[in-house]
Amino acid sequence: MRRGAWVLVWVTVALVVSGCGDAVRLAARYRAEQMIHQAERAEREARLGQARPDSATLLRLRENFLAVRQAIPPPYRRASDAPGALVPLTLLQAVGKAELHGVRLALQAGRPDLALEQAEWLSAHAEGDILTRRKADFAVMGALRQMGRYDDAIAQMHRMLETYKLFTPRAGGEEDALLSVPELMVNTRLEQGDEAGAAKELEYTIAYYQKTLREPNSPALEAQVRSLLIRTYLEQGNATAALTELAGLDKLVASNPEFKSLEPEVHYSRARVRSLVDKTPDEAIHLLDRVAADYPTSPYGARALLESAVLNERHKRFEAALDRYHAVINLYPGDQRVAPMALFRQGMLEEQAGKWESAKRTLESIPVKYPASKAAAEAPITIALRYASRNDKPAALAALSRAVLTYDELISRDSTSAFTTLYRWNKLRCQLPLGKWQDGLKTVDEMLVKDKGHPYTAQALIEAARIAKSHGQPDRGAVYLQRYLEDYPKSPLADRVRKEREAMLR
Amino acid sequence: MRITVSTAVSCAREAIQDFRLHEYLPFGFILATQFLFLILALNLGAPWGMGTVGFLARNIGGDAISHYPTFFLFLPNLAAWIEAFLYTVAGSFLIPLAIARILEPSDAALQAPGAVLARVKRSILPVLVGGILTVGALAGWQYLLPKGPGPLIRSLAGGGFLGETLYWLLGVLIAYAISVCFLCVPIVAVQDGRGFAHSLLGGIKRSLAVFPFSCGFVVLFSLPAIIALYVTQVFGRQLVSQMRPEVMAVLLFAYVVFISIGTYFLYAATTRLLISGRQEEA
Repeated sequence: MRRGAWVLVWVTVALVVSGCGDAVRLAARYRAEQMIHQAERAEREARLGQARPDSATLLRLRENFLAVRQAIPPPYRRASDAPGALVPLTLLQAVGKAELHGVRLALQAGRPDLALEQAEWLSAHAEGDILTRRKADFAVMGALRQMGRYDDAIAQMHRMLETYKLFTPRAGGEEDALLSVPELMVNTRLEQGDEAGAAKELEYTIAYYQKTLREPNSPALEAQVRSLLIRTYLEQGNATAALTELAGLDKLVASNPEFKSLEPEVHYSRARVRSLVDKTPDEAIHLLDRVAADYPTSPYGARALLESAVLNERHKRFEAALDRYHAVINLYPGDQRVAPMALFRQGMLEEQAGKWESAKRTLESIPVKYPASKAAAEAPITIALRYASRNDKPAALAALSRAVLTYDELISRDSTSAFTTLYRWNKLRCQLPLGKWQDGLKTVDEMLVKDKGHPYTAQALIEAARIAKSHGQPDRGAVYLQRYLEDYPKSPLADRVRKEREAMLR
Repeated sequence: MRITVSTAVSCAREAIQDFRLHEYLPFGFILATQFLFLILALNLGAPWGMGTVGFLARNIGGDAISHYPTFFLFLPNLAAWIEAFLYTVAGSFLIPLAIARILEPSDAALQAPGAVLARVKRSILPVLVGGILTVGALAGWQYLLPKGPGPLIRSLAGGGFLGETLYWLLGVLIAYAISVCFLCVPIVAVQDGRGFAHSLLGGIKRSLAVFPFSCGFVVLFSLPAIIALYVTQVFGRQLVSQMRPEVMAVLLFAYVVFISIGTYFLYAATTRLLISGRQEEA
């Protein structure tokens, strides 16, 4: 009897220890978390030592995260697991977290190919966990964008919108990241200079939001989708539709006190609609100024002030516009969305008012204050163009030389910035009038590697072919055109480029 | 009982000088068990660690605390419960055994064959009840501390590092004072070898009689353990988030060693103190 009891105790202990129950997978989850913690620590230490670790360091740090999947390979779920069982789910999410860290580091190291491979692996091994698959698919999308495979990235975005259901937010809570995808699709097309594609994506976006609104949703989600739909209509310039949706949103906000946080957006959208509908801008400007005054801490306060300035400028009310640009810069210096643009417009207005020295100082300050902005990419070349339009050739050439240096600094400051392609393109535009055609061709070669597939690279290739030919190197020019045909086979210019290439080879 | 400070000092000195391994071994057994617990706690990444200490932690604190590094924030609490269990349940046999071995050279009755074990067996129940009463009183204090006295002393100290330190110190000192009230229960149970009520009540009475001296012993012998405990309890979160979380387990290793040796010295010194008191009375 006594011996029997001991045997029972030992069998129970052995079963617990050897994996009956969840001990094995819980231990694996713990190991995964331990490895992630150590990898994060190593990354923190590397970033403390080097403000901007180089790609070799980043890839070495990535190895620490990759080791998690190697140590704890799939499958994480057993056939006997109940649906939604906590242990396999949290184990998968722990390994998924390590994989996503790996994707992030690969992207930062400029190796989107590695990031894509890893994100696709995670998406395929999500074992039915929607959250992990969603995250993996977002990572796939990011990798495709960085690789310059914009069409594939947009196809991925479409797939995601069709596959995943939106998460219900808490009242006034954060938006589901999926809701930012439609805007991203439009921006991707716009970045490529593809206006028609952007318009098509806007249509798709509207259809997607409308379809979502037809489904039963929580009021919080409905409010978010409706406000996005209004934004898209405004983007499209469809004031009537925006106004209709605005009425719906207004009603929703009025009936739910917890949506009070949406008020600034409602008022801002109403003002934008007025600016599209009214023949005179007075009412729209008044409404925008009211939004800025009533909601100074809301992002819509900053946007309203900028919008009001732009509207004043468009209607030649330069003094009022300048005042508002000043206000944007002084009140929202940290708002990367509005401050760089306000500073750029301020410079342009100063130039128009004949205050060239002040305008030049303003434009020169943009790359220093807001290096990761479109305004920073435009300001240096704008200074040179303004000198040229004043027929001051020596000053224009000096400004071009300074602009090349500024672009080099901006690129080396953040080689993974979304604006690097524009920096390189503008650098090329500065190098050519300076007569530095060999440096220009080097810039194009760099774009071929780093900005493959981008519309600016397409333009740069045609430009490079022309330069090479004009400097007695038609073979090199033909190579550039060949690359154009390989990288942009669907381009409407393809036939013309083909003919030009053949002419160069003759 | 007339005891002077110099007697108490002599008892403490003698307890240290007369350290004997076989007297300490019962405490060593508790220490070995605590070591095993900490080794298992450091190996939750292995199924045998997760299946034992991990299983215990999940059942006490839920799934959230069986994650890394959160587990190490919970470890001092888990170790405290294990310590309380070992010193109360296993200690109801092992502490009287150690005390009987300390008393053996000066007690002729204990030198007879089988007398030590017989006296220890008779002591188990009063010592166990005394231990449970101690744990109950400590739990009551732990419940009360954050309700009134803790926040009061924290706000009087102006919060911050000093406030946290004084809060912790108040908690520890009162907890030790409570333990000291039951300290003599096992000694009286083994020394007199009489019934349950005599051992328990007599033990509490003698504990109160030698209270100032035992408190001095506690501070003296537990000082290294108190320092280790202070670091784990006051700086626990920083240790886990800013250093290696495993540092917490290393500090707990140090703590259990210090507390094991300190407890042995405490009982050895207090036993000598009670013997001296009786001799003085006689």
